[in-house]
Amino acid sequence: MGDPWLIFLMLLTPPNIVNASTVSHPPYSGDKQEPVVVLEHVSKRYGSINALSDVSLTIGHGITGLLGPNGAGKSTLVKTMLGLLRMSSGQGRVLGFDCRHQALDIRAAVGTMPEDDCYVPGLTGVQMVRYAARLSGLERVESLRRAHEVLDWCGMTQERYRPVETYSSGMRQKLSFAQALVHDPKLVILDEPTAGLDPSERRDMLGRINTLARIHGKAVILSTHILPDVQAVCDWVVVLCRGRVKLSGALEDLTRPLFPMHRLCVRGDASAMVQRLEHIGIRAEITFDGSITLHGVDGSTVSGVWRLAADMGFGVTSLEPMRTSLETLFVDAVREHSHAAG
Amino acid sequence: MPLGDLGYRAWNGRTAARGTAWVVIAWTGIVLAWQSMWLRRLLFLAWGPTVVAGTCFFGFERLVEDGKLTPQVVSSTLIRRLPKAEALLEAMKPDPSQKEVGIAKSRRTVWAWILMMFMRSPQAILLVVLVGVVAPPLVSRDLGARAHLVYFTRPISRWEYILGKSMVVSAYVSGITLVPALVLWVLGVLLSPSIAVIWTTWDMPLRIIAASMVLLVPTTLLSLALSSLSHQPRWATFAWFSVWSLGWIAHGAFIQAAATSSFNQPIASEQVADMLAPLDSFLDSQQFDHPDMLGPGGLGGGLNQRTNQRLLDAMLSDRFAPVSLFHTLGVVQAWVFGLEDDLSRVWPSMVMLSLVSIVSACVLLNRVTAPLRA
Repeated sequence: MGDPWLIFLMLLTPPNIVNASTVSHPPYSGDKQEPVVVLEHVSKRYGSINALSDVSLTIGHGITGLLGPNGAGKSTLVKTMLGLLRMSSGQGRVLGFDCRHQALDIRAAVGTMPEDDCYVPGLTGVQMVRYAARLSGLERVESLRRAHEVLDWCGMTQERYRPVETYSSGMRQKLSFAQALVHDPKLVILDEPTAGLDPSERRDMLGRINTLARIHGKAVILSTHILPDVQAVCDWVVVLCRGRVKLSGALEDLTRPLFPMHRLCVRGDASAMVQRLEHIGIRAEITFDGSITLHGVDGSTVSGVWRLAADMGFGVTSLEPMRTSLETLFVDAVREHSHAAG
Repeated sequence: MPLGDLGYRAWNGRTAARGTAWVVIAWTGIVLAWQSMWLRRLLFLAWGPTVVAGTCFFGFERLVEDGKLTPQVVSSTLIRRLPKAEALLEAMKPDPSQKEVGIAKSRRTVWAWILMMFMRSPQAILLVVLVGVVAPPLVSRDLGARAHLVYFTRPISRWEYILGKSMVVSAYVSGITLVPALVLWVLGVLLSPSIAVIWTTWDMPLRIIAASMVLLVPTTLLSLALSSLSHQPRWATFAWFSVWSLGWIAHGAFIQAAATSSFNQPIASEQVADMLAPLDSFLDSQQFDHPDMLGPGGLGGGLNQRTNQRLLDAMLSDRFAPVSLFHTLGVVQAWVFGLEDDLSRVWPSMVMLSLVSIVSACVLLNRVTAPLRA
């Protein structure tokens, strides 16, 4: 008897309330252990083109670098996470919200800084940030206060009162960054945040990103082509290529070589040092810059290297673990895919 | 670094209810549009016809108050234009009790006619210009400056965005149609001999609102749809004025062609005679004290001669109205004001306006987020 009424009530109820996934998955708790983004077998097709193919990904707290060559699917992935694009298959959750059915909740909790210049013509910088705050739901007075506060932090001074059309690309980047933060989001997605910035501003921008993640506990996704930026600030890396995840993990783990290697610089005859090292069973070779690469040295044997250098009367200027560069990782990942495709 | 910079600070304040962002979009759009000096001048100019319409109200109410609403006055001035002459003639009957009823009826007719003429001739034309200034940049500039990324990376749906933008156009259009028309009604009430006029014209504000909606909905949606088709506001402006002027030209051409062929066919005269038959019979049934006051040939004959051409034009105009947005709006507005009862002549225009609105809304919904799907 009650069934027709139940159906009627369900039809009247907004979809985000009746959605079963909402009931079974509570919203994001803010727990640092809880992943902020979970994507499972996400695919997105534009006609016959696969922009994303079976992407499964978990992004946690800290700063995650999203890397990939042009056309790799980074923007599509971001748009899919924000619910701006409907995924062809698979499912995803961002901050505990379902990408398909709770897109507005996701966008309310996420701050996005697009790569392209985007502004409303006719507004000044502060009006623009305030407008963004108002669109995110901040009240009239509070939005203005918050806009000034964020602009101060982003290093925008008096230029905030100039029309946005007159801004340089660097100023627009900072303005865009301020817009992304004005509602104090839990997750910040930054697309090429350092593009168009001079070296000093770039350093400041990376510093701000670090501050957001390390001090204020924001999760940051950094989509960029600038690998040194990723190496400088990111904890995690995801490399996309042709819509597939080629590499994903902690930067620390990924750049660690398969076999432990150390780089040794000594004041003295490097070749004599190499001979003595091989004599005690450590494989070593001299590199083009005069330093010595030690293969298979771990924590227990490294003290032997120090002792040997002291016995020989050589001064050790540096002895550090060697890491694979991010660039090498990136190029290898992309090349591997190209070869596989070829 | 600014003196007051305290570093990044978390914010945990209250946010507005979801679904209210369209108010922010609308208000910002209104403020930005207001910066145009041309728009402000145009708005000022658009209130000029209100004075003329107000004078008409004043003139009519003076005629009523001074008892000068005579058949002579009616036949020489008003009846040439009014579509419903019967009510006016009721007002000139010798029976005082019937006369009051007639005055009340004629007031409704005359007020409706003045208001419709006000909304048609000056305001609808000014509306075209005003919307041509306000609407084209609304979506196209957003697309050009990629402002859609500002909107749609926030908790805003397409509907809210479109509603907000529509409200910008609607606010300005209402400022030159709805608001002055309501002011005119209030003016009419204040000028009339008795405050009881409110009871006899209570439906007039509702008709004004409905007629304004007829203007607002299709024009707003069409102008925004055209705006969404280009990143350059100037193309949207060109398209907007082209739609109106081409419609006008096409309508004129059809009328001309039809009139040329109709005048040579006896059937056209028969149609006119059919249309006039109810009015003629009404006039024949009336007993006036001084029939000679009605002019040579009597009121019916004079009316018949004078209105023959007009009614033929009207008949032809209605038939071709759907090709012109301006004329289509006019037909539906006449029906809203109660000056046109024949639904068979109104429905093609209604269908056309509905089609324009639906197609425009679909185009708009598709276009505003098109760059995000690319």
